Amino acid sequence: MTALPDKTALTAASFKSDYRPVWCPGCGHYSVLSSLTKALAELGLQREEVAVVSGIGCSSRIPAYTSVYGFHSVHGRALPVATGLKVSRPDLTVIVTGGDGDGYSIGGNHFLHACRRNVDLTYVVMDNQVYGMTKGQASPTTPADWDKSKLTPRGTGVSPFHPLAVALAAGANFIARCYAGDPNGTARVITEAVRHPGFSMVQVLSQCVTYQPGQKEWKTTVRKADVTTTSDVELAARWLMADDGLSTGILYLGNRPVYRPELRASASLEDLETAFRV
Amino acid sequence: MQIVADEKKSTSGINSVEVFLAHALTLEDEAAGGYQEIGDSMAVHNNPEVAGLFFQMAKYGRMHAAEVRELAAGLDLPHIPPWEFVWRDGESPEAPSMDKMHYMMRPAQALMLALRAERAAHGFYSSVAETTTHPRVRELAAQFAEEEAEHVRLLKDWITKYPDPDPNWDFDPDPPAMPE
Repeated sequence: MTALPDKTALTAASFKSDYRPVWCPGCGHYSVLSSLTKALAELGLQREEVAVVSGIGCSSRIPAYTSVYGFHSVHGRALPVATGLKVSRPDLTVIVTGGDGDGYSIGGNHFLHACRRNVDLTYVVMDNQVYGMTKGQASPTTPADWDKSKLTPRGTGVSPFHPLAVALAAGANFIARCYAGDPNGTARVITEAVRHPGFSMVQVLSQCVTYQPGQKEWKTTVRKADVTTTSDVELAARWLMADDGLSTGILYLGNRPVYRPELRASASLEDLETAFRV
Repeated sequence: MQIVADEKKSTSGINSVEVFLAHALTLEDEAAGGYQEIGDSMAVHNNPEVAGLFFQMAKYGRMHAAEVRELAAGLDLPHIPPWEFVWRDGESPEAPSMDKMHYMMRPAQALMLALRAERAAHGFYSSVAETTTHPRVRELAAQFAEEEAEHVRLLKDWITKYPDPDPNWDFDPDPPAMPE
């Protein structure tokens, strides 16, 4: 009796660790963890073939809750760590996880260049439009009029960052948006993101029930995108700029060449030392 | 009525014992896993009474999953990707809904949540029993639906043993989450 992709495949449950998540009850990140582990099972991977790399924040705790290799790195620095790992161990499936503050603010520059380099990574951003771990400050994706933080009592007054449009412009090869309230749909998108070569950007609308309780409304406002997946950058850009940020689906599949550095030594140690001899 | 119609539409393709048991096994496993996860979450947030209830529900879920596994012994269940199960709204019907959680929720609220999940499972099995063309699937689905109906009755009785939550049940004089 089996209901797995093949005889050697692991179940989603076997990709979870024994650590209990400390996220608030009702947090969307629980669903994203479930989607991620379902995707890993669906991909038929073994634990030692996967690494999950994160930065800092509530969502960045996710490597501890999986049973694969994990690296809980420095704030905003998950992408460079993951890039280094992937180029030196191209055999690993490397998944990068984090939140909107970590990825778009502290790590904003790394985000741009990770898209541009197009290393074969899957970046799952759990976007709740707030810094939750530090008690609810506005993040780059917070609406301009959000006035619930003492730091921004009249709202930020600043237009929110548009991660998918930026990812497209910077060169990401796969662009999708999902919703934590649709864990099986999110599992499908993560599976396809990992399978697609190059840098895959997956934004997951993941509600923060504590600092953004209004996001519970996403259950009724988030909907499947009324659009067909495209490989046409211009079409994708026009659609993304017109969208209200609540449509889900795989929006763009690119075919840019993936960055895979030559791993063979191009010079011997002796040759290199020659230049330093005095 | 629309929900029942959608359920029937989604389950009408379950016409083999293997496909039915693959659905039943996933439904029971995800129910057990969901209850365990919520129980863990409540335990972490110092709500041991509600955590205990969810752990008990998880235990029942594991027992039901074991019964389905026994029925499936010797059969080669098909692999179905998570997004291709014929659940009405895309998610396993008995998986408890995380968005109804609150760290201070009271036992009656926890049991109401479980009641909704059991009703959804009953709806799924009833729909399969009504729509399948396979006699053995019909028999099994009707049996499972009756078991779920029994769980619904038990939960309704159980809920009466707990008082309704106080109107200020979620007031925390020292909240862990104070926006700054």
